[in-house]
Amino acid sequence: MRMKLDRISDLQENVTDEILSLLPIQDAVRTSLLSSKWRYKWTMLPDLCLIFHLSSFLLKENLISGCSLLERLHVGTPKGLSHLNINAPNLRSFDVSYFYQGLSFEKTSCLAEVTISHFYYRRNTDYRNRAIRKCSNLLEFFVHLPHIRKLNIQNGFLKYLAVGIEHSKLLKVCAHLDNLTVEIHLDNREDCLAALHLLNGATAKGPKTNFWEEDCFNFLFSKLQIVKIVDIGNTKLELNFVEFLLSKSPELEMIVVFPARAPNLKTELELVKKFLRLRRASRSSTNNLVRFKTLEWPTSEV
Amino acid sequence: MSSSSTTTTTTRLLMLKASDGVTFEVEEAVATKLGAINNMVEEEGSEDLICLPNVNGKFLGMVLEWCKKHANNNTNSDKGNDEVNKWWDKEFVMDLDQNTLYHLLMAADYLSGTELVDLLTEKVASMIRGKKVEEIRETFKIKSDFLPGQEEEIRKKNSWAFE
Repeated sequence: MRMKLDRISDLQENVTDEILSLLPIQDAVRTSLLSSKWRYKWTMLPDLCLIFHLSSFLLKENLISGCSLLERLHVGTPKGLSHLNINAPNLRSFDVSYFYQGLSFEKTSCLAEVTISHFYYRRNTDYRNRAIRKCSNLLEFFVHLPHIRKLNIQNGFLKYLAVGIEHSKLLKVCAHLDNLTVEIHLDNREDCLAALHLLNGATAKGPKTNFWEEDCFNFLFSKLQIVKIVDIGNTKLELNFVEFLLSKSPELEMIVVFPARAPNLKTELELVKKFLRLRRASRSSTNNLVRFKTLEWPTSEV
Repeated sequence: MSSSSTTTTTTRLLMLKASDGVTFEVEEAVATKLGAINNMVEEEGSEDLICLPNVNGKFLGMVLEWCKKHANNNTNSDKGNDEVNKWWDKEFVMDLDQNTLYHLLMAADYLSGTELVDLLTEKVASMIRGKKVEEIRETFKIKSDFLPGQEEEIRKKNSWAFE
């Protein structure tokens, strides 16, 4: 009996998919070189988990291009990975934990959920180019995300989006974006501007024009209903920010506030008092009060 | 026969007939570890003889052996059972030759034995993980049919994966 037959290449597609999904991404990609039967097998995976172990390689190619069925993509800790261009027409959910530098989307029209947890951005020539083109990274970022519904950006990514924001056109309204989490450094002007553009895109009703001709804070967040602010302190900047939100959001129902770490009861009370004194947008109909919920810092996250 | 909830006392026996005519008599609780059999048994008025034209007797026997072990180990509610199952699974896949591995996978997939498929696909994955292309080809006797230059092209496209 001959035992030297290639069997594995003839396995059912669903079985091969399962085998490939158990492999680290490098190993899965490497199978494309086995034979023509294997050439495109890995690209058919609906769920890819990229966990990079190597610190030396640079990814220049469009790794994700050609994965036409890919729906969820999780990128772990891509050490040494400097650019990631995502081109996956069926992708619905993308999250990346740590990232440096360039991240771009292309043909990702189905993408609805994006989470970017840590992003290390270093300014470079890219900054000037964008400024000349009067186009912020923020605008570019959204061009290929027409169906974005949920966006969570933390730790540095806003700085990247803010590049070119000073002279940029306003972000067009993102009709589907209804869940936005963003980390803002209130003492950084560009951060704040980028956040405003974002908030405007997410919550304004129609496109706003003449951004620079009018008062630059001429926004109205007419769809904003619930705001959660984590790690807020007692400084003027922070209060101004809340006041600004209150004054521009006629539909606002609730602000949930998680005070900064270990406040004593007295400072917390002060904070609440200050909040209560803030003006809010006049709304002809119902109550003029915003409900504040001051919550203790969730211990599990400390 | 109407379904009853007294299966703990009276165990229904099923006859499974493989493609080569070999038959196996197994307890329902064992055979229903396989999703496909479970579906057939749940159908009203199902017969006790089930023909499986796509599975050869040798491999059906092995699949059932696996089911039996897992069904038995699951009835004792000891905490050490997981460990026992794991240890036994390890033994089960350890010395499988390629041919057997292939046929078992085909059989487990056909019979919707999800847990067994998981075990076997993991076995295959472990034979690929961290290996060079040439090593994988050697392991599975895969012949490259790429044209000259084509291989280099693929390598270049995702060069990071081939370092």
